[in-house]
Amino acid sequence: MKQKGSLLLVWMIVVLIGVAGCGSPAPAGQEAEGAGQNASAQTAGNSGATETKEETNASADQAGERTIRHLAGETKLVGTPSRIVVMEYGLLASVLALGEQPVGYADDGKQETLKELDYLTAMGDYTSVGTRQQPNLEVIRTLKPDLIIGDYARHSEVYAALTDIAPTILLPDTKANYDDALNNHLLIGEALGKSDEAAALVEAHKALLAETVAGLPKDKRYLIVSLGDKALNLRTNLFFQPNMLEQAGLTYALEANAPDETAMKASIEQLLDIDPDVMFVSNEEFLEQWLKDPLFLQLKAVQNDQMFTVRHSKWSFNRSIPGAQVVLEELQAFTPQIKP
Amino acid sequence: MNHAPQADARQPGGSSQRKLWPILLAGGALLAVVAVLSLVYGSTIYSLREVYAAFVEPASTKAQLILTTLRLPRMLVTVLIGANLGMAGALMQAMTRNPLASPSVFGLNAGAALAVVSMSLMLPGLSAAWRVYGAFAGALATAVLVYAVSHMIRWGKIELNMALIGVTAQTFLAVGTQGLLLFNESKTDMLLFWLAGSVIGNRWYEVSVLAGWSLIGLLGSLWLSRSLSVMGLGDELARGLGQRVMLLRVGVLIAVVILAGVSVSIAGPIGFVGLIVPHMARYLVGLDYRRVIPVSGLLGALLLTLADVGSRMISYPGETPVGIVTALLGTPYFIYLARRKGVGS
Repeated sequence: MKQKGSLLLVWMIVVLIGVAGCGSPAPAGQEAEGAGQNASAQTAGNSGATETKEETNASADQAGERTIRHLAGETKLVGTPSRIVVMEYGLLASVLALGEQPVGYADDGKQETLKELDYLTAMGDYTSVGTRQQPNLEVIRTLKPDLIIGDYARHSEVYAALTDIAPTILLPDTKANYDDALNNHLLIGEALGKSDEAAALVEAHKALLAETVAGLPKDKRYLIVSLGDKALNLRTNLFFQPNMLEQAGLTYALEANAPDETAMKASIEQLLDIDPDVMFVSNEEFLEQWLKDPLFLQLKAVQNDQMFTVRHSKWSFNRSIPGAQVVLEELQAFTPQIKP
Repeated sequence: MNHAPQADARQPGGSSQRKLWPILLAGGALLAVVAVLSLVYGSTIYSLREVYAAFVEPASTKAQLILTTLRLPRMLVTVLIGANLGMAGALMQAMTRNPLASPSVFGLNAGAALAVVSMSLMLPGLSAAWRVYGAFAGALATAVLVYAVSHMIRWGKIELNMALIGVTAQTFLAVGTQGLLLFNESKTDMLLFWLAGSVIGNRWYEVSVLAGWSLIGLLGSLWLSRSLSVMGLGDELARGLGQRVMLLRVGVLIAVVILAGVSVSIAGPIGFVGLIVPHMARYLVGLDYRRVIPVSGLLGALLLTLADVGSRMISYPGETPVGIVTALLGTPYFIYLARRKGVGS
């Protein structure tokens, strides 16, 4: 009896430590996104692009009743939403760019990235709704939102539960390519009753993209790399930022092997084989260590001074049209240093 | 591989009498071949002449740099970690008299991994030399927990309880690691790769961290192996033959924690090597742990190096974590072992 008691005690302590370590328990029933969803999300996203335009034209009265077609289904909206919950960085960027402050955001419990993206002040007072991967549905409900904007890859499994709280639209963000981001911005504009503003930003963006790319040499091979301790994460041409630059006419150095391969883990060996002419590296904290590596110094881009350090949050997280604007502005600043 | 351990024990004239040195020699030769393969094979395939030239003729070509600063240290790391995990598995199977024991099954790898993940999230600037201590602490705490809890259970066999508690602890710790990753998603891109078990990107610095600890662990294991054979007869008999059982247990525990801990801190939790390899060793040289332990080290090195060469071919030219390859090899073998009759008797 005594032994059983002490055994029980040990396990209780173990469980308690575990629960404390994990913080507040998040709602169950959400799994990481499968790779299979991705392909369908991609096609659905592309076909959605044409539909959006029709919708935008049809809804002359922007605050009136409108139906938003998105990856998870169709959502009816009436009036201008004022209590919005957003659950991914790229989608947040579009909402903020349209002049709205969300009441809730899935900030993963910390604000470093928001600070890096310069969004913290623009957001004002908001409530954290937990992690992007497992948002807290109860907190979302207590915020009494009238619109929820989520990421299809992460939140499609809880779409029904979210819809039960408020009208929900799910858009591709985690795996978004350039077309997805364009479409996202227009759809969010429509949902917020600000189609004209959204369209205006898309136009301004297209102009800036054309202008930026015009100043860059087309025959150079570009690559975006996020540095790690031992390995490197190479972005393929399907990743958002490369996808945009490639569509605008630049040559990107790494082509994806599979339709959903947006990044490739590699050692310095593979990077040397690719040997891009111009390289943008993020995660600066590892750069010093790499610059001591004689192999890294063999890279053409390093030898020719064609390596540029960029912020990971800006060049990787912010898969949106406002985010693309920031990337393009930084790229323009680098342009004088990029050798023809 | 159908030799049940007890069958060998009843026939002292059987495989246990096989000579050790031909097996060590053949294994060493095979390891040398695979090691050369791991130098030759990668995103660029070099000829043997180029490999030879890289180590003999001083010239700062790209090929030479890749071979001397990248592939050679990676090969050495793989060989050492393979040997560490193989020997750690053999030590654990000897001490617990449980053929399913290994650093991964008993949760030691998961404990070390949780400690390393916590450390690299809380103190991101810490070097590998310091992460090792975190891994030791994690592995030791898990081992003590598993041992203590299984001793508190008064029903069933202690060997079986340890395996069950170990698997439970492993799952529990893995959940803890997942939880940490969930709350630090933006930083965990590369941690996830490490968590699958990967020897990619290890340089001479990692070799230097690994080599010292491995030497202590491996030599210590060889020294312990003399006493472990007597342990196979059971605690009572071992005590009767003059073994200080508790002291030996503590010695084995320290050796296992060093071997598994340092391996995890460098390459992440690589599973199944410590489980499979001692069985192969027993099949080759019988039950005597004075033979099983060195042969396990050799075979572990061979298996992991082979798996690493294989891992470069799966998604060529990208890299697959070697832990995925060992899991592919090990899972069916684990099921085979668990289903086999007479386990643990």
